[in-house]
Amino acid sequence: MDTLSQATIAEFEQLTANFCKKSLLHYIDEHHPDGNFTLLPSLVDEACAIGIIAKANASAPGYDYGVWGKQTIDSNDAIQSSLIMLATLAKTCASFAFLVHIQGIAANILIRNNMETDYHYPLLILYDGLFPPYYSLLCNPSRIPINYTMENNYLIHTSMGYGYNPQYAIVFLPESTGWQCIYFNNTDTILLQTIKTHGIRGLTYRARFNSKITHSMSADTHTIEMLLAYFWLGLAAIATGVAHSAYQKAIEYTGERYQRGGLIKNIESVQMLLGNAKANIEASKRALVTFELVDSSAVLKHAAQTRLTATTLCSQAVTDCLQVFGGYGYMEDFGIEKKFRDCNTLLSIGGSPFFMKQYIAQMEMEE
Amino acid sequence: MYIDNYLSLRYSKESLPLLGKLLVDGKYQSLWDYDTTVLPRKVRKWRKKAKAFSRLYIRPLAPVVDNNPYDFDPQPLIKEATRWGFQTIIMPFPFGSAALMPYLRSTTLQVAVIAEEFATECGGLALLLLAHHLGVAPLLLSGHIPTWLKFLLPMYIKGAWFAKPTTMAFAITEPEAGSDVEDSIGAKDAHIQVTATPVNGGYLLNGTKVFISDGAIADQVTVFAKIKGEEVDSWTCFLVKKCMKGFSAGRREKKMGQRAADASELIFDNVFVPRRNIVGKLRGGWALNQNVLNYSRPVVAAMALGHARGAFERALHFCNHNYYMGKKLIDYKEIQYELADMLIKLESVRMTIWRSCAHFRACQSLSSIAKVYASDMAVEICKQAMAIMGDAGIYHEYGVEKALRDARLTQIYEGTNQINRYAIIEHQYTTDVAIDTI
Repeated sequence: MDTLSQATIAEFEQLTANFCKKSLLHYIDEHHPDGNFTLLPSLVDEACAIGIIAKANASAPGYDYGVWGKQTIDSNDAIQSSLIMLATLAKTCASFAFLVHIQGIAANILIRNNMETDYHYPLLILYDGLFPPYYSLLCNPSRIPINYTMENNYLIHTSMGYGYNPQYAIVFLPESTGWQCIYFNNTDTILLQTIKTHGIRGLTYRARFNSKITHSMSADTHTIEMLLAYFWLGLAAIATGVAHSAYQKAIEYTGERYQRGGLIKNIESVQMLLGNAKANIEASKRALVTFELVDSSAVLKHAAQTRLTATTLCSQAVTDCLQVFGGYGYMEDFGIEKKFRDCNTLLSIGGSPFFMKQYIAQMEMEE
Repeated sequence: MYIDNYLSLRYSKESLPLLGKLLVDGKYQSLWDYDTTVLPRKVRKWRKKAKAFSRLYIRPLAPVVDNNPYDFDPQPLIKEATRWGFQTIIMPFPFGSAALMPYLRSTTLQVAVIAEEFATECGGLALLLLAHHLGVAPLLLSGHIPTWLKFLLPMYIKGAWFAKPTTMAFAITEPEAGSDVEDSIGAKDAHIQVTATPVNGGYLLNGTKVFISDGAIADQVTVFAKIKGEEVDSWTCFLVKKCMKGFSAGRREKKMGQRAADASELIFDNVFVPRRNIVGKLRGGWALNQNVLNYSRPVVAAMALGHARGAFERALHFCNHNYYMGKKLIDYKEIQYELADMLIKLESVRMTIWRSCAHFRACQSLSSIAKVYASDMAVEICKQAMAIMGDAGIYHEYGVEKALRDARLTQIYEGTNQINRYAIIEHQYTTDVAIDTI
């Protein structure tokens, strides 16, 4: 297991920050509050080339230390590095960070199964029946009702998935014997319909498969747990980045906006909002920093706790920051409304707080 | 799940003697019906009518307009609402369609009741219809009968008899003065830029107002301006007509929610307003503004309640029609627990609002309490609704995320919730709050 020094992690953070400043900043403008999707391919290429995005190809720069690259399988430092990179990306654009996150998870699955691909864009499908992600279902997928058919190496299935213009697809399906992970390297036979969402727009699909399976691999419970843990942790990191940037924007605004005969930074109610937001963001960061790889079931519980804490606190922080802007915060021009939508989406996606609480309680009971 | 067995409320009542049967409630009816029964008879009628209208006209339009608000022509809807009497409900006969007796007990209750029904279906369309009342309110509160006869009477006759609506808007917010003009402490130092310069026969208005709901579609706007060379205490309300030279609507804001109603910039470039178009007294604008806000805040609270109710109803529908592990979501105890929690909040918000409306004159602190509590609860309820729906909660198609976007604005307009908290203490400072209990 390789370890990363704090200095190296800081270098990765700086690399990501430079990418955001140089390239990603142009992705959002007044005409594209949710991102200019025509720029996405070049941005993804660039992020792959500098090693931010992990790719399931040993010669790719991000293979080891990109977001959810190979080293994250057993290194806490590499996980922290991925979380920091995601949070840094999210400060500029949560949607792009989410895309990097999804690509990282897909690459991680392939790396775990010693598979290689040159493709960039995955479609990641975590079986619908897995949500809410009750622990008993994770361990006994045979209890999950089946809504797909698989015959003659063909899959017929409709499900919701994450990605962007996918070139390959990874689908997790429950079977009587355990979990199965199915890989498709041709997405031409998958009908994709974009689902309009509250935030993180343009990256959620309803996918209808009538497709030949390229490769099928069994996935043990531990693998599923680890991937869910990565998924939740990534959401927490992105939410923290979003909240951090909302806070920075709010601080800047309070130094520019005059009300009551002075700058609004001197108004007590504004200070209360900012104080609350800052405390929430710091608590969220600490929840992320304290995450550690331990034995598998505890990893997922820890990830669920981190995700629940971080996304809830960040959602509150962003709503406080929006309130600082008053009416301007509600308009698209200042970009705060997007952060509000994105953060609330991160709160709900793949297991809302309501289900997270139950999941954590169930895990506690198991112990 | 709940079987109507011999232990249930209905049957257990049967074992009581006759007088006992009369004293206990064995009915199963919705909380909406229970609540309706406590309203005065005529207000009950308006509530039912508003529900029918919003289901018939607002519900089908809501998702379409939210997706594409810029191609939406609001006139047919406004015309229909006028025909049903909703656009003149701010005054009783002969100036409006409000029922007289309940109006004498509460001026705002009837508007609040219909606001909840409209907002349940769509926040944007509710605002589109209700912002008109905000524009009319200064005319009403001017307390000047000639003004009522000159402006309100023709508006009512045109609307009620000829179904020709006159849409109004209320313009106070300026680029450099948002919260300041909604708070008497901030107003002293407000950077107000819209000025009225006295000229022969009237005033010339210059400056820009922003975020004006219905600003782009209004036929008439009640505009607040300070007299040139004077401060905010000279604020005066002017009635500006769309056709006046120099008056135009500028940029339409792109909002996160309540997208069906425009929030527009209004530009005044040497607009001549005759003296007869002054609403109330010269330099009497601040008092009008403060009181309009006191009247409108319970209505905004009712809109917030409507957004939350809409989210609740959609989440309930989702739970009734979706299965998990072969069982309806509604039949899971944890879902029932969460739904009950949302209902508790909805009911307590409704009671707070109706309580705040229980006076002939709007009470500043009660209005602000209702507005702050309702809007904060509405956002919470919408988030709870999204949470029990899991991933589906964030999809446009279910309308719950839209309710959250809509509800979030109620924490901002009519004075941010922070400003409203100041308003509560300001109003109570020399009364209850300052009571020496020792």
